[in-house]
Parts: sequence; structure tokens; C-alpha cells
Amino acid sequence: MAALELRAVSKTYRVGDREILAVDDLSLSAGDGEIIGLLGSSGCGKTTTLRAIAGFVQLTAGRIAIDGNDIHNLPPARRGVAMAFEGYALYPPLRIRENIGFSLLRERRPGGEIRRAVREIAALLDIEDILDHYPAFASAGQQQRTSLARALIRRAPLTLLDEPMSQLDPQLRAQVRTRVKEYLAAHRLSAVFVTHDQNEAISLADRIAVMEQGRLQQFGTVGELKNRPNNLFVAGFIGEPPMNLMAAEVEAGGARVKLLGETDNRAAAAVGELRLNGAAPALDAGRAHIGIRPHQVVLADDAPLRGRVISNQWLGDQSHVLVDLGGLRIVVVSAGRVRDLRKGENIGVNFPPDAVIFFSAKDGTALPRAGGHGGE
Amino acid sequence: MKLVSVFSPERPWVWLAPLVAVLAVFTLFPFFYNIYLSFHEFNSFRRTLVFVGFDNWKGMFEDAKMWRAFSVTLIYMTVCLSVQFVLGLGLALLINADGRGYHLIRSLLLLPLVVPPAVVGMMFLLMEDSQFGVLSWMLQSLNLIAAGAPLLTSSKTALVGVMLADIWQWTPFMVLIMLAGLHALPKEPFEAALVDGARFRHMLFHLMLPMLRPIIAVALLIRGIDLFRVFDYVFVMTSGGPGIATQTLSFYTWKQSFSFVKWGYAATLSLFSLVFLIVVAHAFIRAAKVRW
Repeated sequence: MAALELRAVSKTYRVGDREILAVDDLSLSAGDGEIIGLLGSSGCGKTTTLRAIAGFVQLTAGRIAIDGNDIHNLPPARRGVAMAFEGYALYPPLRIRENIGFSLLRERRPGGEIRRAVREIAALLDIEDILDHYPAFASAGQQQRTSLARALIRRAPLTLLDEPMSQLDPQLRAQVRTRVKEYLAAHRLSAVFVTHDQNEAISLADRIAVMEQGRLQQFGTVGELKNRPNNLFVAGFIGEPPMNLMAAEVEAGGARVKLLGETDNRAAAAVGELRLNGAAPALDAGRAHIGIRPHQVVLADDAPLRGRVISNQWLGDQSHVLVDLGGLRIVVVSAGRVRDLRKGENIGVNFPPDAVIFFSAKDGTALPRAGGHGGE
Repeated sequence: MKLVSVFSPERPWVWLAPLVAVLAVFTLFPFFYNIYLSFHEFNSFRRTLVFVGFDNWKGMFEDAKMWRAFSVTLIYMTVCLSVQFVLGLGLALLINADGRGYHLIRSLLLLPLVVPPAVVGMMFLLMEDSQFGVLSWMLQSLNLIAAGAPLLTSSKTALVGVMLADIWQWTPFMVLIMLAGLHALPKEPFEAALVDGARFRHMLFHLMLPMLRPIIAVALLIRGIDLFRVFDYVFVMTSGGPGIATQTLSFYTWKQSFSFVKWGYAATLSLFSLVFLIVVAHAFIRAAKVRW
């Protein structure tokens, strides 16, 4: 029910005489009814961003707007946001039922309506049986669902969720995720949630903002993050297993690429050679990084790149094969069972030219392709 | 016998002896002697204690002055406790912040606690003087009392005058305990309440006070017992006067003992105070669900 816009948002914390830049020049916008996931590792600034939207963090610079109205100077209560806290933040003196209905009571809604709403949301999150308990007597998972229920019941224009399912066990998590997503969609609610779990981000969010060290690395759909990563960080962060990244030396024109080993490799011992038939970006000869998704690498006996199998793991629906190309290890995901591959066996791998993504060796940003397809 | 072998774990009584001796001499003996005294009375002609049975106890329940002192004590305790609690919580909420200068304010606020109560009594005696007392002047300027009205020498206002000293000295103690309690509260539920649109009064009554309940109960208990025993301010400021307007139970007990040399009756009064405090304190502990 609301569009969110963050413009050049920065937040600096002062600890003693040190300044810590928690969020650095972050801009992103979310459409009406969109679910946005803030994804990143601990300390990347995602929670600070969420708390800034909620109104608990005073911005150092920038502005935040909901439906075009600046809200970054308003107190939390007047921003029209609901929030589920990572530490649950339940009200200890109140029963679960009163915790969930607290905001509706503050809005002076009639008792019958509150009771109905509480029952409905409790059924959605499977906590009907503990409604008359106090938070101290509920399990961590129940407390977390109570916190989630307390945020969702408001149907606020913008719902903020901080690690909303971290305490739930995997089966329950998948179930709650689906129900929360359906609930948000049914009531056309916009939401921003914070997570460090990319599976959660992928399954709950319409678009994902990947953050690292206070900076937005990329904001886009899962497909965009996976197939057109903005930089080396996103490439290595998204995907399970993550993208194979390696240092390379590109010939002028980009017809041939020499693989040099791991991305941090300084010793330029060539591992092998790729022929890319002009699919490489228009760049001058020199160092670059290249990446390829594990499931796009093809195992082929007649391929020119040769390596040794280090391990072969069958996961029930796919195989993860770790191949050593002479100092450079890559992971190959094969949907079919590659039963006959044994440890130590010699194997050929093929990088389909379209699947290879180039990154600048200087700053790690993705390089556009000459042909205009693939990378941006 | 070597010293080392005397202080061995096999002889616990050696370790316990000092504590037991102190307890026996200063706590157990006076307590039991008090009980013994309450069934006797000092006869000044024979200069000896005479057994009187339950006469002291019977006499006490028929003693109008005792009941008057008891009710003065209860009024004193209730009013001071209420004012000190409300002021203490209010001030604690005001200075529970991290801004510049708050640390200094918190330190300054504790100064009254280091002044001996008798000195505080003397200070307030002077400040409440109807001729040149600064407090009297302020109250007169605010039209709270008539010009030249004696605060401590009028039976209508004397108790209030004594209470002012107590409140000035002991409110900081409440502030200190409430600050500690507020400091220990988790921040997140209050952030959640802010997002949920709660106003300050909702947070105060639905969250803060219930969450502070254990610490409030302990503070009220400690202060309540202390207030019930009030003696120093009364002794210094009014000596129970005018008449018996500010005569509290402990002051009445002291008077019986040291002015009238009725040791047996004084012992009876002090035992009554003890029993009353134990009963009320236990009822309070049960009602407030204080867990030690």
C-alpha cells in the first residue's frame, strides 16, 4: 500500500573519537506492494537501514520518503510502519494475545474486532494455543512468531521485518514464509525485511538489495543477481554454491583468455586457455577476473581445459564435482548423476562463452560485453 | 595444640564463634531481654524490676496516646512513602538520559544522602523558622501558608514540616533505585511500543511500571520499614510537639524509656512495633510477589 524511497542515505556512528560509517550513500526505491529483502553478512548496515526507516536511527545524510512524503524527521509512530524486531521485543507484562493486539487497542478499535484480528493472525502463524500465555513461557520460535504477528496484524502501509524467521526450524520456516508472503500479497502490503540467509531472501522477496560494508552492492531480482552480478562481491555472495571466480589474462580483442588461478593470485602461472569467440568484453589486453556459475560449467571428455576430480558429491538431485585445474579449483554442478567420476580422475571442462562474466581486475565491477548481451 | 589444627575444617565452631558471639550479645540477648522486660516494670522506689504479667500489654492497648502515636506514624509513613516514590520515579525518568551533564546531575542528586539525618533536621528547623527561615519565606511567597504562620509550632502543619526534611533527604534514594531499575529495562519493547503508536502514559502503565514491579516492591519495603521507625527528625525538630502532634511510635517509646523510666512499657511498645512490621512486611512481600 505504499512506495518507499531511500535517497543517498548515510549513517555515521560516533564511538569515542572514532567514526563508523554504517550506511554509505544508499539509494533504493520499492514500489507499491513490493517485498524487498536487505541481504548481507553481519555488520553490513542492513539492520541500521531498517531501523532508519522505522525511525530509531537519525540519518547523517539523505532522505527517506513513503508515497512521496519525507518521513525521516517524523517520530516512529507517525511513519505508518509496523516492525518485527530481531530480539522479538515482546511486552513482558502482557499476554501473547495482548501483545499482538496492542497496536489495535491503541487505535481504539472495538474489542470484538481486535479479538477477531488476533485470532486470524494467530491461526496464520500457528500460535493460537499460546495466546493466553505470557511471553516468558513461550519458546523462542513462538516468541518470534508473536513478534511477527504483532507487526502483520497492523496491515501498516510498510511492514519492516528484522530477521523475522531466524529462530524457526526449517520446516516451520518454509511454511511461515509462504503464509507471510500470501498474507502480504492478499492485503497488498509493502514490506522490507532484513536477512543474512539468501534462501530466505530469494523465496520471500520480490527484489533483493545486497549490502556489504554499508554500501549497496546491487538491487535487483534473483535472476539479475545470479546472471548479471554487478561486481565480484555479489557474484561470490549469491548462489549456492557461489560463482567460480578466477583471475585471467585477456588478449587484446578478447578472443582468447588465459586462466591464471584464484582471484587473489599474483603469480601468473597460466592454468589453461579459453576461446571465447568474441564474447569477451571490449577491453584492452591485460588482467581481468572472470566468473562462471557452477551449473553452467559443462563436463566434457573432449574439452581443452583439463583437470583432476577432487571430490564428487551426489545431493539426491544434483552432483557437486570439485575439479582442480592445476592450482585453480572450480565447482561444477551437474543435474544428472555423474556416477562414474572418481577422485583423481582426469576430466575436461568447458566454459560456454555466453556464461562467462568479466570483472575489472582493478575494482571488481562487472564489465559490459562487446556483443551487448549477458553482462550489462 | 598448633594454631593450624585449631582452624581446621573439622572444627567449624572455631570459625563460627565470633559471629555467634556478636549475634548473641547484640541481637539475641537484647531481643529476649526485651521480651523479659515487657512482663516486668521498673519500680523506682525499690530500684528493681517487678513482675507485672500482662499488665504492660493490656495497658498498651488501652493507651490512647500510644494509638495516637501509632496513627501519626502510619500517616507519616504513608505520605512520605507515596511522595518519595512518585517524586523518585518522576525524577528518575527525567534524568535517565545519556546526554551531556546528566552524569553530574545524578551525582549531585545523591548529596542529601551523605548528610546525617540529625543535621538535616537542624537545617530544616532553621529553614522552616517563621521569622527568618528560607522555606517558610518561600511557602509564604507562594501563598501556601499565611505570613508569619509558624510551620513547626502549629499542630496542624508540624507533621508536614517534619515530612519535608524526610522527603528532601530520602527522595534521592528512591531516584537511585528507580534509575537502576530503569537502566536494567530492555530498550526494544519500548521501541516496539513507539512503532505501535503507544503514548507515554501507555508505556508507563502497561510496560514500565509492571516491568519495574520487583524493584519498586523492594524499594517500598525498605523505605517503608525505615519510615515506620522515624525518630531523628522528630527528636531534633519538634520533640514530638507541639503537644503530641508529631509524636511517632518510636519517639513515644523512647520517651517512655528515658523520660518516664518505664522500661517494661517501652520494651512492650518496641515489641509491638516489631510484630507489626513483621506482619505487614510479610503481607506486602506476598502481595507484591517479591522474590528474594
